[in-house]
Amino acid sequence: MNLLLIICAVCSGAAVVGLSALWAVETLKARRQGGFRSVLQRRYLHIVMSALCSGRGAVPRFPMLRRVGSRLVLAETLAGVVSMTYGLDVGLLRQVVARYGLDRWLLRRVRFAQGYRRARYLALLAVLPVGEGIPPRMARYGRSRNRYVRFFALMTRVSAEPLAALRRLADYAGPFSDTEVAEIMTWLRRGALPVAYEPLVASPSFNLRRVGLSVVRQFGIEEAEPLLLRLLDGEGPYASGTEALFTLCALHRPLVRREVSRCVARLSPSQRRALMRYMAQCSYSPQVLSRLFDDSESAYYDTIVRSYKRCLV
Amino acid sequence: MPGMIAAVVCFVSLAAVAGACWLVLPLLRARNKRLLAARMFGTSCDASGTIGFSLLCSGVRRLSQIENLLSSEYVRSEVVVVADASLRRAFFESLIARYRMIRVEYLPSDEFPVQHVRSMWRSRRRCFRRLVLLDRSEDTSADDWSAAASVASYDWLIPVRDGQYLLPGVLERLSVEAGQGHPGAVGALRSWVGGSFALLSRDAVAAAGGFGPGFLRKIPRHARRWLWEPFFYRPEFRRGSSRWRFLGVAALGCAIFAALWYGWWVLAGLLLAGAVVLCAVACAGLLLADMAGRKVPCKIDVKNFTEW
Repeated sequence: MNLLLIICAVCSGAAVVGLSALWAVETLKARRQGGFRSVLQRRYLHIVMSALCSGRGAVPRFPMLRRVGSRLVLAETLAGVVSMTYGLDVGLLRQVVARYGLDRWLLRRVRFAQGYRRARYLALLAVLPVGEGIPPRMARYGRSRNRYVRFFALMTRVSAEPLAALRRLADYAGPFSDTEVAEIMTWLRRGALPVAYEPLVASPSFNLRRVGLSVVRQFGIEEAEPLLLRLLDGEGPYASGTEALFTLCALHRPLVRREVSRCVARLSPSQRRALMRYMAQCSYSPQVLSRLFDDSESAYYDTIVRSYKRCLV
Repeated sequence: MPGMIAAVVCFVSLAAVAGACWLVLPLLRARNKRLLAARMFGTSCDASGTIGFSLLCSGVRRLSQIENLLSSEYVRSEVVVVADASLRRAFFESLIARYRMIRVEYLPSDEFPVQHVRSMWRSRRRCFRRLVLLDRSEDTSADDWSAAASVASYDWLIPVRDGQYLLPGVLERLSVEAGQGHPGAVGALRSWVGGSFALLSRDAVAAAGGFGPGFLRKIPRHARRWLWEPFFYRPEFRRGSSRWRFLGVAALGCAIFAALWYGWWVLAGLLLAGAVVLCAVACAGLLLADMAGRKVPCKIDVKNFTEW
C-alpha cells in the first residue's frame, strides 16, 4: 500500500512542479508585458514610423532583437502598422521581414504551437508582407480542426497572392462567420483585396456572396439594388435572401416590391421581428410595413417606432 | 484500516490533480483565444454583421457603473437601465440631467409581458444616444430584466447587476462568439469566472417566457455554452496580503519536506494534494488577471466622455 501512496505522492509532486513552473513563467511574462515589452514596442514603432516617413528606403536597425520575445514584439509592431494604415507601400516592411527572417521564425512558431496559439501566429503571418515560399506551406493548416487556424491559413494565402484571392475564398470549406467576414472587410478597406462588388454578389459561392453583400452594406453602394433583388428569391440553407434583405434596409432602399414581400413571407416569426427592429433603426416609416406584414405584426413595429417619439398632443 | 486510509489519500491526491487540470487547461485555452481575438481588428472597425448587444441593468445604484457600460466602442450596443423613480429619486434625476434624457412613449410588448412600467426615457446627448431608462416600481431582478428586454433594440441580451463593471473589449470579444454557427445555434453563453455572466439570445429568452425562475434550463442544452473568461470586474475587489500568502506557502513547503523526510506517506500525500490545489488556484488567478488586463493589482481606467 505504501508503494501506491508513493506513486500518488510522486504524481502530486509532479503536478505541483508543473503548476509552479507555469505560475513562474506567467508571472515573468506578466512583468515583461508591463515593463520591457511595452517600452520595446514603443521604440520599435518609433523606428518603423521614422523609416517609413523618411522615404529613404534603408532597412532600419532594431536594438535588442536577440533578447527573448523581441522578435514577437517586432512582428506585432509591423503587423499593427500594416493593419492600421491605408494605402501603405509595404516594400520597406517586406525588406524588414526578409532581413530579420520574421516570416521563417513565425513559420517555426506556427509549426510547434497548437490551437489558438497557432492561429495567433498565423494571424500575424497573414498581415505581414511575407515571401513567396510561405503560401504553399499553409495548405496543411487549411485542413486543421480549429476553425481559426483554417481561416488565418486562408488569409495568409490570400494576402500573399491577391490575384488568386477570389478563388481561394470561394474554395474555403464551410461558411464564413460574421467575424470572419468583418476580418476580410478590414483587408478590403486597406486595399489589399479588390473591391469589385458585382462578381462577388452574383457569385454562385455562398462565401463570396456574403463578402459581396458586406461590401455593398459598408460602402453604401446603391447601384447594387437590382443584384440584391435577384438574391431575394433564393431559397435553401445557403441562400443569401435574408442577408440581402437586411442589406436593402441598410441602404434605405424602398421595400414595397414583390420580391421583398415574397422574401418576408418566407421568414420565421422571430426573423421577422428582428427585421422590424432593424428597420426601426434604419428609420423606415410604419406605412411601409402595412404592405409587408399583417396587422398584428405591424402593431409590434408601431410600438418600437413610438418608443423613439413623444406624443405632444 | 490503514489500507482504507491510504486508498482515501490516493483518491484525494488523484482528484486534486484532475481538478487542477480541469481548472487550468480551459483557462489557458481561453486566454489564448482572447489574445487571438484581440488581434482581430474587424469587429473594432465595425459591428460584425447585424450582431448587437443590449445590456439590461437591474438594481444599479452608481453613475460610474452606467458610465462604464456606455464606454464600449462596439457600434451596435445599448444600455437599458431599470430604476424606481419614487424610491431612488436623486439617482433617477441625476441620470436624466446628466444624459439630457427625454421622455418617450412606452407601449407594452407582447414579447415580454411586464407590468408597473411608469415611463420610458431616451438619452439625446450625442455621445450617449445608447442609453434607455425605464421607471418601474422596484421588483425582482428577473422582472426588471424582462421589462428592459421588452424595449431592447438588439438580438443579444446581457443581464447586469449592481457593481458589475464591463472589462474593456468585451463586446468585441462576444461578437466573435455570437457570430459562430448559423443563426439560432447559440441560445446562451455563460461564464462563472470573475462573477456570473450570461449572454442570451433574445429569441431563446422570449421562448423561455422571459427571465423567470429557471429560464436558463428552458433553453435547449445544445444551445447552451460555457466560456472560461471573465467579462465583468468589481472595482472594490482587493487581493489578500502577499506576506501572509508567502508565509503560508513556506509553511506548507516545510511540512511536505518534513513528511517526506520522515516517511509519513499519508500526511505527505494529503499535503501534496493541498499544494496542487493551491498551485492551481494561483495559476488560475494569474491567468484570470491576465485576461482581465491586470498584470498587478491596479485600477482599470474607465473612459470619461461626460465632458463632450
